[in-house]
Amino acid sequence: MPRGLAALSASVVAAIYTAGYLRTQPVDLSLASSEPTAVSLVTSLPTATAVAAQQPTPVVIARSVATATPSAAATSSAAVAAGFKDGTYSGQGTSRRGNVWVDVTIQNGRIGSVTITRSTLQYPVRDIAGLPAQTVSRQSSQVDIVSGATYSSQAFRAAVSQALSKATA
Amino acid sequence: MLEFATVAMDTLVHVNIVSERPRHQVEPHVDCALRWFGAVEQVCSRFDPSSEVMQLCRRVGEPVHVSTALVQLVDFALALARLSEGAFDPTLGVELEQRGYATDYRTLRPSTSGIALRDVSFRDVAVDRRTETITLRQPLVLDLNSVAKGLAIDLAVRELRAFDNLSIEAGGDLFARGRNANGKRWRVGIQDPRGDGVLARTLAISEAAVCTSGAYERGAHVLDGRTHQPVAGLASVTVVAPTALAADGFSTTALALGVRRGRELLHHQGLQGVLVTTEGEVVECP
Repeated sequence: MPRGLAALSASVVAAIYTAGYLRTQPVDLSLASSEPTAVSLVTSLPTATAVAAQQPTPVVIARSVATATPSAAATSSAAVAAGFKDGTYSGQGTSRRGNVWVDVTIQNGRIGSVTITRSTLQYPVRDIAGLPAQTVSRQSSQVDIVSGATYSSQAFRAAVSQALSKATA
Repeated sequence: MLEFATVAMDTLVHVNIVSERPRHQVEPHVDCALRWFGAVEQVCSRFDPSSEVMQLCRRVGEPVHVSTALVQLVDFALALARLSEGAFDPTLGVELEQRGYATDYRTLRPSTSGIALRDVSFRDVAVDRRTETITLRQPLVLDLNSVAKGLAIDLAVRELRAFDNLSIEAGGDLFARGRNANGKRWRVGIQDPRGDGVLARTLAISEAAVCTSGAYERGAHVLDGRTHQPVAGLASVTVVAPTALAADGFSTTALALGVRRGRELLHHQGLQGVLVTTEGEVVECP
């Protein structure tokens, strides 16, 4: 059984969650009627809050080429609410394991989707995005998740950043 | 099984939810949960000059009122430092900057504090939980990377409490609850530091976090606070704990302590661990 600080860690998480939750989510967030609410742990630092509003996160990545609809947002160039211009931007990332190319779609000034268009990475694509084709094989594979000091997203991350730099240019 | 992914905290985050609900019903909750990663970054990022911690680091010698999140997290990190007698030390941010660990992943540009390197330690930080203030006795940069990702995972898990069966993984650190898509406990492979796709061990877990710290992917980004040198002897440490915060913090702390004292620490805390030495030996705890 965990003891000492390890056991205390749960109360640390609870205190932080409650502080953030109470400040930002005054109404009950039930499963039936939920609209995602902005979460902020900081209230006393206005500059930090302002920057947070510009951040691209959270970014829900499109899980497959099929669900991504680059054309949907590509024509719009109106909203720059989060600091990005609407449209679809490509980016490339390189690591010692290979290259990856992505299309990042900005909708309403935020990242709407990120699609991997091509990859020469040597590790399975499931490590960089949960693509449906890999889902099937994963369910029958030996493990569900891998824990490691992995940095496998390095090339992917670089590709997204490169695309985002075009979106802010 | 419904799968979601995002980019946060310099890594990819994957959420898997085993549920009969349609994706469009689940997605808003996942979206909400993933926002905690951004919220934690806003507090803890060493690479963002406007983060709360970097604003704190610009005020030396006075008690600074900070958020509950920052006071709790720094307090936890200092407790780890005391437990390890300084092997784990969250005050070595400037040293990490000077060793090149100072790139903002959102821009891929260098981001340094401009604070000069001094001989600092965790003893230069005082936390008052009652008044929620932190006092820095010397100019320093708090590096909370070893605990921030774990905390964000825990907060996201808590946000998804309506779901009985899920896993959240961020850059090799994870929490799993309930059962996997096959109705069994989640099977977690521990990556062997020596090779891609090779597993050192496989664990079956539920309602537990698994975090791995190692020097084999990001380079020597973990320093032994006692020597200020990159950790040696251990290639990786994996810890199973009730929270990702604990698993994350204790894996880094054990890595800094080395194999013998690291294992002792985990044993003393009642934690399960897998330590892999640079020689490739796998040492388990208990």
